[in-house]
Amino acid sequence: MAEVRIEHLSKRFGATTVLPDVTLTVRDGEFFTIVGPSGCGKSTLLQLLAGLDHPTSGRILFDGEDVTGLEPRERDVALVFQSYALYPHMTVRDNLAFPLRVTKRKTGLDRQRIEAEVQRVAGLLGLESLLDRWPRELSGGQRQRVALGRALIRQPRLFLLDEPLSNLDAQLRAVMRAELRHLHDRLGTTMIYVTHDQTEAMTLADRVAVLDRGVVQQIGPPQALYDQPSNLFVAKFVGHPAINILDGELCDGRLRMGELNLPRSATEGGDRLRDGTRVTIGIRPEHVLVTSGASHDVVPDEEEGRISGVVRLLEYTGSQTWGVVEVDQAGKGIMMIGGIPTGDSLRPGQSVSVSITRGPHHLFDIDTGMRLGGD
Amino acid sequence: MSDAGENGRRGVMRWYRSRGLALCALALAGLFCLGPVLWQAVTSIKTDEDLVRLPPIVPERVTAAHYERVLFQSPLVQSLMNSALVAASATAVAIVVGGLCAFALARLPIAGKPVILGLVLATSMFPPIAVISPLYLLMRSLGLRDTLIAVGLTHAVYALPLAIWILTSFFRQLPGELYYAARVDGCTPLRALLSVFLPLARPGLAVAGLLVFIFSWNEFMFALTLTASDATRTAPVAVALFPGLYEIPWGDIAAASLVVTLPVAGLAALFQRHIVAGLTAGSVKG
Repeated sequence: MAEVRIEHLSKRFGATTVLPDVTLTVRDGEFFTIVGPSGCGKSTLLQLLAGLDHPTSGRILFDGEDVTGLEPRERDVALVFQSYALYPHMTVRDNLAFPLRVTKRKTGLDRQRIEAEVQRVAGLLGLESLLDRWPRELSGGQRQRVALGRALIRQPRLFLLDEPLSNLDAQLRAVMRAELRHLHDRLGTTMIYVTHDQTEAMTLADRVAVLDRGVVQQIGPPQALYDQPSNLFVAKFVGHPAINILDGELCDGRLRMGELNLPRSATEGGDRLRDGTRVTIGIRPEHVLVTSGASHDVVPDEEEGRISGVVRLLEYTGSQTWGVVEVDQAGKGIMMIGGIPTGDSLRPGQSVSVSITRGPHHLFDIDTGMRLGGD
Repeated sequence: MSDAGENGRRGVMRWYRSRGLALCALALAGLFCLGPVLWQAVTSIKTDEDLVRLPPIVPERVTAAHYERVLFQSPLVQSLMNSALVAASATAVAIVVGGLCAFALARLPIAGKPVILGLVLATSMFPPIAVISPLYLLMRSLGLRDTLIAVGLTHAVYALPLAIWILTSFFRQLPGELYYAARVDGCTPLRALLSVFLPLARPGLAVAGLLVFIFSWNEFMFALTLTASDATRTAPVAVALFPGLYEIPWGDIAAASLVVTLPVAGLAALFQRHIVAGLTAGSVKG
C-alpha cells in the first residue's frame, strides 16, 4: 500500500514533449484512473511510475520515499498490460510463480511457499483448474485473469494497470470490471488504472484524472468531473452521449445562441458575466428533450428554451432513445443530441422541437475553453 | 455423367501438365545444385584406373579404397576433430557474445543503435584477405600461432556480426511488453534475457548457431594461414593439402570432401525442421 506523489514530472523523447509537467497525488488505497484519448501520455506516465523509463525531470514518491532513480524491481509495483504479456513458454502455474521465483534470493521463499502462494492467488481468481495449461490455450478473459494473478502474487504496494480490459469483448469487460473493483476493495492496495474509455474510468474509480496532450485537465471524483468539468475538453470527454456544445453571447439577461436563448440563471455563474461576453455553452443530452412538437411532455416550469429542428439519427440504448437533431444556429446547421421521452416514436427526417430543460448548463470561455463562473 | 468424367480427366491432365512443368524445373535446379556433389560421390568410389578414363561415367567396379585411405591413413580424422572443436567453440562464443549484444541493441535504452548496427555490419565487409596479414602478426605476437584457439577466435569474431544481426531481429520480434513484464516482476535485464528472451528466441538461436557453425566449418583462408601442423589443421585445409608433389589423388580428395560435407549437411537437415517449426509455432501472440 502506498500513497503516490508525482511532482513536476516531465518526459521528452527527443524534440517531442510527451508530458510537460505533471503533478498529482494518489491517496493510499485509492482506485485512481487516468483517462485520456490515445497519445495523451497516460501510458508513458505509467511506465515512469513502474520505473521502465526515466523522467526528463521531476520526482516520484511512494509514501514519501523518492523512487525516481530506482529500478523497476526495487519499486515493488506490479503492472498489468493490455496485451497481458504472459510468458508464452511457461504454464499458468509458472507464469504466476515467476515473480516469486525471480525474487527468491531476496525473499527467501522456498518451493512449498511459492506453490502455496500460487494456490492462494489461483483460488482468488478462479484459476485452479487452469494451472497446467499454456497461455495459448486460454481465452482472453482467462489470460487477463492470469495476468492479474501474476501481479497479485507478490502483494506489491502499488498496482498499475494499463488498459487491462481493452482486449476483452464488451460483456466480459463489464464482468471483469466488477471483479477488479471487488478485488481492490478486498486487497485495499492502491491501484492506478489507465484507460481511454471514460465509462470504464468513471465506473471504476474513486478519483479520475483526465489527461490531454500530457497535461492534467482535471482531477476529481467521477461525479465532480461530470457535474463541474473544469474545461471544454473534460466536458466533451466525459459523459455519453457527448455533451452538446453551442456558441453564444450574453445580452439582455439572456444567453443567445441564434434562434435559441436561455435565461442566464439556467447556467452556472452566468449571472456574474458582463453583457456582450461571448461564451461556449455545454448542455448535457439529458437536459435536452426532443419531442414531436406538442409540448405535452415538457413541464412548462422546467423548460428554459426551445428551438425547432429535424431528426437526423436515432440512437437506441434500450432504456433511453437519443435523437440527433439538426438545428439552425446563425444560418449554420449544427447537430444536437437529446433524449426522446419514452412512448414517443420519431422518424429520421421528422420536424421536431428541441426543449432545453433546467440545467445547470456549463459555460466556457470561448477562447481558452476554461470553465466560467461556478466555483 | 460422362461429361463430368470428361471434365475430371481433363482436370487430371491439367494437373499433370502444370505439376509436370514444376517438377522439371525442380529437377533441373536440383541437378544444378547437387551435380558437383554427385560427381564427387561417383569419383570417390571409382578405382584409380577408372578415374582417368571417360566413359564410363558410372563405374562398373566400385572400391572403398579411397575412403579407407582417407579415414585410416591420413590426418583427416584429426582435422575433422579440430574442425568440430573450432566450429563448436566459435559458435559458442559468437552466440553468447552476439546474444548479449543483440539483446542490448534490441531492448535496452542505448543511444545510436542504428549506428552501432551499421558499424557491426561494416566490420564484416572487409574481405578476409585484407586483414589476414595483420591478423597473422597479431596471433604470432600473442603466441597463439598454430593453435586451435587462434582459428576459433578468428572465426567467432568474423561470424559475430552475422549472429548479432540475426539475433537482434529475433529479439525485436518479441513483444516489448514481455521485457517490461519481466522487469516489473523483478528481473534484472540479464535475468530477463535468460529467463524470458532466450527461451523464446530459440529458433533464432538455432538459425544463428547453425550459420556460424557452417561458416566456421567451411572457412579456409584463416585456418590455412593460422595453422602449420596436422595437429591444428581444420578439415578444409587438410583436404586442400592432399595433392602431393607428383600426383593429385582425385579419389581421395573426393572421398574426403564428402566426409567433410556430411556432418554439416546432416546438421542443416536436422535443424531445418526445427527452424521451420520454430518459426511458425513459436511465434508469440498477445
